[in-house]
Amino acid sequence: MASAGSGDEKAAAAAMITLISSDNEKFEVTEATATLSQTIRHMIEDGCTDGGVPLPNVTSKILARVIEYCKKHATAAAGEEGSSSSFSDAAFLEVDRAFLEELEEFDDAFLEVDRATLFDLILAANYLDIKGLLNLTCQKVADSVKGKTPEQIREMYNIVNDLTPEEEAEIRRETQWAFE
Amino acid sequence: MPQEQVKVSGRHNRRKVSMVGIDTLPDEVLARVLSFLPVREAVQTCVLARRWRHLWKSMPALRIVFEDGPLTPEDVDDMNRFVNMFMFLRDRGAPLEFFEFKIDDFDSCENEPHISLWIQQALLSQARSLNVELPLVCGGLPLDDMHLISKHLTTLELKLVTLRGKFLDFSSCPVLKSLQMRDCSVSTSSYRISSQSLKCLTISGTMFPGIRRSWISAPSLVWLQLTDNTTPPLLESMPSLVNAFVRLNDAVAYCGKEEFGGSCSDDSCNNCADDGRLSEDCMVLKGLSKAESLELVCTPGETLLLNEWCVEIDFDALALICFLEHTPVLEKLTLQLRQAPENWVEPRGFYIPSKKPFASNKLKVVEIKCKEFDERVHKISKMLSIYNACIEQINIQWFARSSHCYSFQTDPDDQQ
Repeated sequence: MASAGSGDEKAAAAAMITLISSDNEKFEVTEATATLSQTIRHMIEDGCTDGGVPLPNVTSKILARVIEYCKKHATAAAGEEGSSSSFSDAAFLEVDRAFLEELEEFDDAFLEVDRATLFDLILAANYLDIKGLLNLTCQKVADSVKGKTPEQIREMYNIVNDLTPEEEAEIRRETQWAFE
Repeated sequence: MPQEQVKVSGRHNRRKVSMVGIDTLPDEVLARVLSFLPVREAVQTCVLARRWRHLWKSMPALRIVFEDGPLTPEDVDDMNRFVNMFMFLRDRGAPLEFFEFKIDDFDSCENEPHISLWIQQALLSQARSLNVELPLVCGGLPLDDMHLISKHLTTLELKLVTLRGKFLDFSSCPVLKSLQMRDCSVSTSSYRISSQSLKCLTISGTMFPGIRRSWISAPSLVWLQLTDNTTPPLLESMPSLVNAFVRLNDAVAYCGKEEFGGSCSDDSCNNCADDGRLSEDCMVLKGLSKAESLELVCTPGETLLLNEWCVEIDFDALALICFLEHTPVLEKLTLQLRQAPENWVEPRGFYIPSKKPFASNKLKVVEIKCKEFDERVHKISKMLSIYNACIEQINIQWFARSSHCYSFQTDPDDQQ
């Protein structure tokens, strides 16, 4: 796809940012990739990224995955800009369908992780404020509890029911409109 | 919260035996997880544990989606009771990023969802994005004739919704950036779609009443798509426009003469048709080309796509010339032609261009896409090369497939 090519060129010309994980590993990424994170975008805008951006809440293992996600989706954003419009809202653009499918496949494969990794990705996405990744990972958790009873959900996710039977009955009365 | 600290430090021990609890996630993340559940299930998580009791109240998105067959009147009653309670009890301080309401079908028109009320409540909850899709029953579900008032709303998507005039005045939504109307209908005869902030506008398959004095006033518009609407409104000046995609099917044409003091020469001017017929498919084009105070200006280097506008080329080709005179910075023009009408005739009449051949001397590339290489293509190319010496390239493409309408933007497959 021509637009993807132009996106890469754009990225190559852009400035590089160094991200430093909690275990002190350094990752060089393009600004286009890094700014998918609103947190980092604000840091860049404030001009405080010289000497690298320390991310004390994110391990190298998780940061590598997050960067993988951002790279893929930054290309997508660049592709949109390069194609039919400079307005980068995918919903309104007739972007390359094949590319969208590829992105979806990427996302599906990306989510094939164990629960601990999934939660770490959620925490990282939340901390770095990467909306797309946060929604993607939260949706994955939601899908796993869809259609389950409260008892099944508690068991699945180690939720300790600290409500007394009386309290639980009271809450159910209070929200009867949702249990009908 | 001290309890949480304990849990967080406990997580590392548990993780080693891969028993990570969902409680390690912060409240705002859990509320986001809930927003991806069917909304009733999301509320029901209030009985999981003490921490979960109020989490649903701050969900950042509300999606009310019914896609499993028609709703009975009782279902609609239930839904109304449920959503009213939900909206009443939710935490107004927690911003709603996204409100989606989508139902497939209903059984009866007696009970209607309280959708107008919920839209207002969503706006009170600082909704940034609203997405409403209603079923096609009872001739469309009309929303209340209300002004939308919001300092937060940036995106509005409407499908199969019946709207009245006040709704289309977005002057109280100062950050609205994009509006999409698909298969909607507007039931007010005199209205104005107006927004100072709108950048991206799509109006597709929408029915507008065929009455004068209706127009789109969106001076910041960058991206415009107008496709397959009946009697689309007139366009006011859009100086920032970068991309316009206009396809006119079944449009009842009339010119902008009365509003804009144009130079329509036709005495039976319902639509400027010089042969007395209704000239379909050319209303916006004519609105643009005939009205002198109305210019569709594209910034240099940008593209204007006019799709299928010249079905009846015998008459419209003249409008094209006139139109191009009013778009002085246009650089690339794409024309898509549908099947030639059976009664195709040679152009009659003349249009005398102003002194310079085409004011648009920046126009370099013209693409003509058609199903068959017919007389019209020849005519247009000839005319363009006579009237404009600057055009470097005229590309002609034709398709073998016989779908009803071509749109190379939406259907890239058709180009092969």
